[in-house]
Amino acid sequence: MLVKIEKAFDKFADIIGAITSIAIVLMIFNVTYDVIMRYFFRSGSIAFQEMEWHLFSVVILLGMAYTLKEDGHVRVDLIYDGLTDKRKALIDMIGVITFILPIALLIINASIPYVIETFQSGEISGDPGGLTHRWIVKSLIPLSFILLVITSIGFFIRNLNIYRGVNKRKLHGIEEELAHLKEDTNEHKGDNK
Amino acid sequence: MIGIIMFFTALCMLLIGFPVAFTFGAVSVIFGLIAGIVEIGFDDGFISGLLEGLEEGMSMFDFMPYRIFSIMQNTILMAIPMFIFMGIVLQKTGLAERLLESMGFLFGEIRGGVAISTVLVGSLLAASTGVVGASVVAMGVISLPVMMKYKYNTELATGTICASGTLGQIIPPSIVLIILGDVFQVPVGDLFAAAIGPGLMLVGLYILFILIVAYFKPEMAPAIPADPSRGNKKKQVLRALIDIIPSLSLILMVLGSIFAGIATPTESSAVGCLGAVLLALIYGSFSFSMIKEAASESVKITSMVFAILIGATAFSMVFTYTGGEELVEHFMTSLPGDTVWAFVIFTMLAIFILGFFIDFVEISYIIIPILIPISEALGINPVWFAILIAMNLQTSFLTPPFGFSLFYLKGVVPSSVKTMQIYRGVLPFIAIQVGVLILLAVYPEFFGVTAFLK
Repeated sequence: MLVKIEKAFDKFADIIGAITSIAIVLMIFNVTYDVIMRYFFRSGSIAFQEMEWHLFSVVILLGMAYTLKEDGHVRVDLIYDGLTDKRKALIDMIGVITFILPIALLIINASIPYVIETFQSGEISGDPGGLTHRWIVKSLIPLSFILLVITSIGFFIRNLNIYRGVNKRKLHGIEEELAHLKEDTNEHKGDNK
Repeated sequence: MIGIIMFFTALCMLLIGFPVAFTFGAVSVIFGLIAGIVEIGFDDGFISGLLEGLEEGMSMFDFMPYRIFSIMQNTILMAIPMFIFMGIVLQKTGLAERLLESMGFLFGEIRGGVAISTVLVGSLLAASTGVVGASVVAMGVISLPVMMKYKYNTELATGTICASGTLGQIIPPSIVLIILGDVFQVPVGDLFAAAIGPGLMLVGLYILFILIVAYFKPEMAPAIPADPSRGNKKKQVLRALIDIIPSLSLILMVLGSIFAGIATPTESSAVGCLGAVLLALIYGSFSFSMIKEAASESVKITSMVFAILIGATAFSMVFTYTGGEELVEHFMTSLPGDTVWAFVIFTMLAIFILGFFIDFVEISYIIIPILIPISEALGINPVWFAILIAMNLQTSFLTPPFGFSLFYLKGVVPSSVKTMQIYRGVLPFIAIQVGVLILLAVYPEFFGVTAFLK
C-alpha cells in the first residue's frame, strides 16, 4: 500500500520536474530572442524581458520540490555517508518533519497574504509595456512551498518504506550522477576511432 | 551572543546530513523564535510572554516573501542554469572523450605527455562544460587507463586528473564566480576577466610540475610509443584541431562577448546554449532525450543552489536580527596586527577549513555576506577578494578526504588504485593552488588586479 502511495508521489514530483524542464528551455529561447531583437533590430519588448525572470522563477521555485524527490539537495555527508540505510532513512524522516515543514509552513503563511494584497491592489510591472497581473508570478512563492510540502510527504513515505525494509534505498544524488557519468563516458569512448 | 550560538549550532546541525538548505531554514526558525522570546521577555508572566515571543519570532518570517521575490528578479543568477545547460549539452556530444583521445596521442610521445594533455584538456573543458564531476569521470575513464598501461606513477596520474578536472571552478564561465558576483554585487564579467590570469597560471604550473617530475624521474611519467594506426603526426594534429576548434570557438564567442562588454553573462549563456545544441546537431549526438536530460539536470542544480539561497536568506535575516553581524565585525577588527592583512589571512584560513566540510554554495551565501561589510569598510577591492575566495574554494574540491573531485575519481578507478594514493597524488597540486593563492594575495598587480580601492 505505502509503496503504491510512494509511486504516486514520485509521479507527481516528476510532473513538476517536466514543467520546470519546459520552463528552462522556454527561458533559453526567450533570452536568445531578446538578445537578437536587441542587438540586431535595436528593439525589444519590456514584456518579453520580464517574461525571462518569470520563467526563471518557475525553474528555481517549483524545481525545489522536484529536486527533493530526486534527492538532489546537497548534504554534508561527512557522517551521513557512513550510516546504514535504516539510519539514513530515519534522519530523512525526522528532517522532513522538523526541518522542512516549519520553515515551509511559515513561508506559506506569510506569502498568501502577500499574494492577496498584490491581487487586490492590481499591481502591475513598474515599467511601461511590462507584464500585468503581477500576483500570478508572486503566487509561485506559496505554490512552490505547498508543492515542497507535498513532495516532502512523498519523501517521508519513501524513507518510511526503506526504514521498514520494504524498499531498498536508491543511490542518492551524487552517487547516481557518478554512475550515470560513467555510463555516458563509456558510451562515447572510442567514438572517433 | 545568540547570533554566535546560532552560527555554531548551524554548523553542527549540518553534520547530521539532512539537506543543507532546509537545515539553514530550520536553524533560522528555531533561533528566530528564541530571539523573539528573548526580545519580549517574561515580564507579563511566563505563558503570555512565551506566546507573544513566539509570535514576534514568527512575524520575522513575514519578510521572507519580499526577500524571495527579489531573488526571483535577479537576472545575474539566471546565467547559472543556462551555463549548466550549455555544459551538459557539450558534455553529451562526447567533447571530453574526443579531446582526451586526440590530445593524448598528440602529446603522448613526450615524457609526461599524457598527463600534460590531461591538463590541457582539463582547461578546455573548464572553459566549455565546466562540470567538475563530468570532467573528472571522463579523464578517469579515458586517460587513467592509458597512463596506467604505460606505467605512469599512480599518484601523479590521479593527482593530475583531479586537479585538471577542478579547473572548471576558476576558469570562466564558472558557477562559483557567478554566485560570488551576485554576493559581492560586482559585475560577473569583471570576475571572469580577473580569474583568467590565476586560472592560466595554474594550468602553466601544473604542466611545469609534470615536466619537472618527468625530467628528474622519467620512470614516473614515461613517454608512450607512437600508435601507427592513428596515422602520421600531421594527420593527428589535424584530427585534434577538428576536435577542438568548434567548441573552442563557441566558448571564445561566449566569453569574448562578455569581456568585450557586448553582452551580459546571462545573454551570452543563452546564446551559448543554442550554440551547444547546434554543435550537438553537427556531431550527430542531438536527441530530444538529451535536451530533456540537460534541462532536468540544470533544473536540479539550479534549484539546489536557490534552495540554499532561500535558506541562507532566512538565516542571515535572523542572524542580523540577533546582532550577530556586529559581533563578527567587532571580532574581525580586533584581530592582532595590521587589520587588513589579519582580516584577509583569517578569512582565507576560515574558508579553507570550512571548505573541508561544506560546499562552496553555503560558504558563498552564509559566510561571505557576513564578511562583506568588513571588507568594504577596510577598502578591499571586492574583485580581488572574490577571486581569492574562488581560488580558495577550488582547493576544497581537492582536499582529502571529502573533496568532490576525489569522490568522483574514486568512483571510476580500478580497484588496484588505493584511495591513499589518490590523496597523496593531489597534495602537490594543492600546494600549487595555495602557492598561486598567496601570489595573488601578495602581488595582485601581477594579475592585473588591485587589492584596494582608491
